[in-house]
Amino acid sequence: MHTSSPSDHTLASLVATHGDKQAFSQLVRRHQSAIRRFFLNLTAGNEALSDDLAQDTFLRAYTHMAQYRGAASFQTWLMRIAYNIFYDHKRKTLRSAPDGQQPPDKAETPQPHLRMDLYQALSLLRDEERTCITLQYIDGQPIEQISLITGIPVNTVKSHLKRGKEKLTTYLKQNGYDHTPR
Amino acid sequence: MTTPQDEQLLNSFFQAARQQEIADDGFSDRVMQRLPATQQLHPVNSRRALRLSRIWTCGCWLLALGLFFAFNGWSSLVAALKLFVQTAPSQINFTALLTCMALVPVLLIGEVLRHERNMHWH
Repeated sequence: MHTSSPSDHTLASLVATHGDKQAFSQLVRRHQSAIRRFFLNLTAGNEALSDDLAQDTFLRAYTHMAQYRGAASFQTWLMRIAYNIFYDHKRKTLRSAPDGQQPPDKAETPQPHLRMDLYQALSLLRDEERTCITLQYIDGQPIEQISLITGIPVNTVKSHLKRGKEKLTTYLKQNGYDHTPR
Repeated sequence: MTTPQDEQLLNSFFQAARQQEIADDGFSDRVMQRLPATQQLHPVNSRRALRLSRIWTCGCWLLALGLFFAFNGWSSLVAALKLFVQTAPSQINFTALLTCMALVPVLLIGEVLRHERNMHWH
């Protein structure tokens, strides 16, 4: 007999009203890949940091589940938390860095399965550009959703995307990507 | 200004990343182990709302009991029960009654199992 799995909204309601951990476990399993991938791209492949930030994202989602009203999709809501967690982390590391220098998010032990060329290309971008590019090209989010997730106005998102695309295409052309089919 | 060729270049560059699925590898279990207890879920405002809700429920019960005794509810209840006992054998659908009686323990067991499963994560 075919049994359809409950929707994100149903599971989120169970967590919000009863603190149902089984329902939350299903949500974590369903969305862990997208959230961890999002952080991997933002941290230039730092797997340990990505997992820590992803854990913090799910913990914050659990403790604030009552605030999820279902107006946007659960994934969009989760992405918004992830974005806030990432910027909280950035602010903390900026404060602790000497002279306000931004410490790099390079992976301490590069993993062979990670696409280092991708992370190298993304590391050329400013944080906002990287976030917008990642959300559009990897997570397939439209501009309005990117604006919703980041809280950045639509026109500013478009500007970040434009600048990010220009930097990336220049980098890709300089490295022969426009000649080699991949 | 990015051209359609640039757009195609970017799309093909990000194609593999789009399809990347990250294996769970115990990540979900680690998250579940770090979850706070359910009681800590509710912020101060919610706890206050919960307390008010309980006070409201108690108030309603007290009002109902007061009305029950004020309007001589006990004798009405006894009269209704007597009438039920006298007329029930001819009117009750025993199949439906037995079905309901069988459903009650099933629902109770289901609720206990759900509660046990929830406690497992604490």
